[in-house]
Amino acid sequence: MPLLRFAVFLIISLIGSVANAEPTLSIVVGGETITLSRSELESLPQQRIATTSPYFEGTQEFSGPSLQALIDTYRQPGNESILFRALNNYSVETPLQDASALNAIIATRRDSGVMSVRSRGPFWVMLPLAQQPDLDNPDHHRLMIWQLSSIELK
Amino acid sequence: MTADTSLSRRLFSRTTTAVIVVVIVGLIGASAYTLMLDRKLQSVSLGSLRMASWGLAQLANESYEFDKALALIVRNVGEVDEMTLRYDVLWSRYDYLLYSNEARFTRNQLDNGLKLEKLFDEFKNIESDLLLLASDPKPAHTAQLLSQWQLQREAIRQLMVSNFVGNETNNLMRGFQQSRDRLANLRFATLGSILFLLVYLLFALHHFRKWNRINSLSGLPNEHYLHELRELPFNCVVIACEIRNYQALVSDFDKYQVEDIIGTFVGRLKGLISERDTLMHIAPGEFVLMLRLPKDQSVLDCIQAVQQKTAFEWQLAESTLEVSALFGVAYSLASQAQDFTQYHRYATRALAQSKAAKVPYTVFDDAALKLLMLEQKLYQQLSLFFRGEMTPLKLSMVYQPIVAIGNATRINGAEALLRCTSDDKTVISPRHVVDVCEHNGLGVQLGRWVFNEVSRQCCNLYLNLGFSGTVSINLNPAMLRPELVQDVEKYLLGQGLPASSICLEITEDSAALNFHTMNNLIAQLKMSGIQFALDDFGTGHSSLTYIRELAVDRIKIDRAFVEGIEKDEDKARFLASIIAMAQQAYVTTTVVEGVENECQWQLVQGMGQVLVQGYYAYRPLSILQLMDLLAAQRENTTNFKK
Repeated sequence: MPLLRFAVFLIISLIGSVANAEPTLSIVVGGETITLSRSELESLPQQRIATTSPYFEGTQEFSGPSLQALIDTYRQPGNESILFRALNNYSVETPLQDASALNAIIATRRDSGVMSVRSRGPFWVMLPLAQQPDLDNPDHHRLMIWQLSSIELK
Repeated sequence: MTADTSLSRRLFSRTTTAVIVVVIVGLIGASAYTLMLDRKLQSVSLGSLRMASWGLAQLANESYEFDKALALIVRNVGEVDEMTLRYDVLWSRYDYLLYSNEARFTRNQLDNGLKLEKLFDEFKNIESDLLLLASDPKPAHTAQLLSQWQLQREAIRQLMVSNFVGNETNNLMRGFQQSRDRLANLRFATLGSILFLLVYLLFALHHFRKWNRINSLSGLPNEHYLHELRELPFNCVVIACEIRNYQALVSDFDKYQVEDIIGTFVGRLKGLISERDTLMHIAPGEFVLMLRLPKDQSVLDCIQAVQQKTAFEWQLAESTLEVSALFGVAYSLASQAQDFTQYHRYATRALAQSKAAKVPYTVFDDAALKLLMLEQKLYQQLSLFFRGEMTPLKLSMVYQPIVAIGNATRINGAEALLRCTSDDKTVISPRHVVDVCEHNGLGVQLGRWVFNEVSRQCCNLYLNLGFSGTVSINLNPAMLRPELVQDVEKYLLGQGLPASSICLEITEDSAALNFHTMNNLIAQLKMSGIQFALDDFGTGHSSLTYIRELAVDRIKIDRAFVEGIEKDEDKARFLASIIAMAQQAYVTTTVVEGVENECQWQLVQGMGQVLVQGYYAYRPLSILQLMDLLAAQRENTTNFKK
């Protein structure tokens, strides 16, 4: 019986994943847009950040590729700043130099599970606030974009 | 005394102090009041206000986006995914506002928390209808869904209105405004108070600086002013002056009488000076004048005039008190300005001499300066000498034999005398050397040097020549202290001088002798066989007391009593009675000093069995001469051991 139940679960999951297309993150650089799916993001080297934040209770663990890795991969000569855009069109721009100092990741998972839009997914710029207390202030909180939809290198 | 007095009275009056206290207390009170009122507002930071506004603005914005997507779906032109996305985004906003720490301030303002919770519940309720609408654009209860959403939209709008322009918000804003006004007022008050206190402080400082340099009693410049003077102009005299017996005045009269006396004295001094001169009141009864000598006046004329004009009689109820002062004068005829401080020192030195010598004034002139310089040079050379360093100064000992009156050649003992020469020719008086040593802390070094030198030179007399007489050594005042016992042991006995041959001489002038401690010393040293002599007997202040109190073995009668006995019978009789008295006292030996000729010798011979020291018998001899003499007399005399 357990085997049968697992098989049903597997089928339902497969159908589900086909029906709900994977969320994507757009990288805009030099007028071109590159679209990365969650699994593509998760195929990059992953980092984990276990931290507290002003947005939830207690410590939670996030994982995903490092922001720096994305910048290094897609950066073009002359790029000086990075602009993050969220699903609600909220956007923040910061110099690339400053972004490198954040040790941020593009979180794709929260406590190992994927994140829905309702729980501020699918992607969330996460900073290691617990590890670097100097980051734990409003100036840096504004860079912790949730519901991240695109990154633009300018 | 001047207008300053009234200013000072006002500066330090009770009213002024009260005003200052009121100002400070008022300032503290206002600060405390402001602090208390603003504590409520302290939880409101601009940062949290900004976050709250931002969160609510985003809520409005996201609800508008959802509204737009919903409207398109209802008109059948929208995309279901877009609408679902906008629904989810708005959901997460509610979630954020209701549960995140960052939004706590927003929840706590007004009744936002309750309202948001209610709105979120209603928002969740429309989800099922929304799903139906997505699957079938024309469901039956679309109207109901839309009306529910419109209600929610209106509620969100109301929430915005009450948060941004509502009464409560206005109150909060007003509170901020009032707080800001209070702070502005406080700042103004603080500024005013600080300015007031600063002005007060400047006045007080100015006052203190001025009064710090003025004697409060006479209003004359005081000792601080004295230190500011740098130069003594050409042909000026510095006079240091002290009211005679000032301490007695203070003890005999009350404060106001003393002040009156000083006032009169100051009046007299002021009468002596012109505008170019300076008069300072440096201590209660002490003054310093800097006077320009008129061309036709000598320093002596000047000081005599000052002395006469400052002496006056003070009328008391039943008697008169003579008030006068002692003076010390220093002047320079050098053609350029001189160092004032130095001349003030000279004048003070001269004043000290006046006091010591009980004379009205002493002039520190070029001769005195020369003497002072010589003394300083002597002191430096003596220091070098005692340290064993190169110096032209040389100390040495000579020995004047003491004989019995029965036989002028029979040597009974010798007194060791200090000699001092500089550059091998200038003779410096031993008295002077002792004085300089005593005044400059070299007394003990001098005494020890003498001990050492005498025992080094004389031990041969006893070891090789078999001499059994005494060697007398003068003790300078600094040696008269408990450590004398150790010094004698170390520097005399330790060098091989037999204790029985030592006679230590004390001068009556050896400062204020304490008989008790002195007798203790004598007793300790006598145990080893050392003798003591009272030197220069008859010249001190209380000779008879000395002879009665001090347990000495010998008395040496001063040469002053021998001088002239051969010409004056009374003098001879007087000497005879002194000798008789000395022999009646508890003394074993009497020595008569200064017997210089045969006539004197004959007379003294008739006065009893005494020892004699003087030129008639022997002049002071060097140690070698003494040894020769003793060696020659070695035969046939009882003073030598066979």
